[in-house]
Amino acid sequence: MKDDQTRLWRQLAGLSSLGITLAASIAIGAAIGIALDRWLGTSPWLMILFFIFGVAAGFTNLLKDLKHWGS
Amino acid sequence: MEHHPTVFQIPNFLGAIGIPGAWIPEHIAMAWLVMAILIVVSYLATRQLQAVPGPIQNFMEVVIETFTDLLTQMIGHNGKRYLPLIGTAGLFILVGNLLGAFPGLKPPTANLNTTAALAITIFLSYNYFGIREQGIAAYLRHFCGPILWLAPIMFPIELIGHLARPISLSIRLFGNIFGEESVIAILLSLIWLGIPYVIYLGIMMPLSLFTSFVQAFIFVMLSMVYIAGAVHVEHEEHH
Repeated sequence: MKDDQTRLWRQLAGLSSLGITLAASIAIGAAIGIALDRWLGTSPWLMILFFIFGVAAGFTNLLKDLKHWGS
Repeated sequence: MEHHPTVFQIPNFLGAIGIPGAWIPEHIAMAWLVMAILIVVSYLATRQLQAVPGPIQNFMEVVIETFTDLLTQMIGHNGKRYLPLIGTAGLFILVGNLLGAFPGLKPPTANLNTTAALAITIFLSYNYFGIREQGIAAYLRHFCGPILWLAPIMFPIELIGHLARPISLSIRLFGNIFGEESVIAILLSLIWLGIPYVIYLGIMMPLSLFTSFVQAFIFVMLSMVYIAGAVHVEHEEHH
């Protein structure tokens, strides 16, 4: 019972981060892309590329976290 | 909330190094208050260590044991090494959040600067721990994924994934505590209506205590998960 409860709380902690991490990954990807574009003057290509990287990172993390916490 | 000044203010004696205003910013003054509380309690608890502990020592022992147990469960037998970092962050956040329950005090964690400082500390620390345990080359190789020719794609993806961690840590803590604090401030400003008083005592008070504990727990929990992931990645891959 005690162990079950701590596991439940741990899952709550882990799963509560899914949404924010997904959004933050995409935002960070886009931000890195925009910064690189400004630096190299290649607007908008790196922004698009890193936006895609950000989405990929978000979903990779989502799947990893779900595998880790969901079971 | 500008119209809701706190009872605890420190005159600005740091004007010389570029801190503006007549008073030290609220969240910094509150952070110092939390530090003072923690220092005093720790001093009282450890002043005379006894085999049969007194009430304060007993309480602190239970707190430290809880942290140690969690660390051992999450990181493994040498999880105790990270007790100073995790314990400090956890106690600071918990006491800071609980300040919100006292009228006139503001939790320092209701300001993004405080939570960002905490999250960045955790971020730099877990990367440092990972490099210290595995060496920089081995640690960076985990960023490149299992397949070599995919490394140029995997590296930025992993990098972005790691950079998202401190952001999600800091924004979650800040958002929860700031939201709770704002609701309480609004309820207190409507208190002459009578009903909000009941809502405050009956709903917001227990709710804010609950959020305080849960948010501190979540922050500590995720920090431990990040440290565990950085310290033994190989261990995870064998599963």
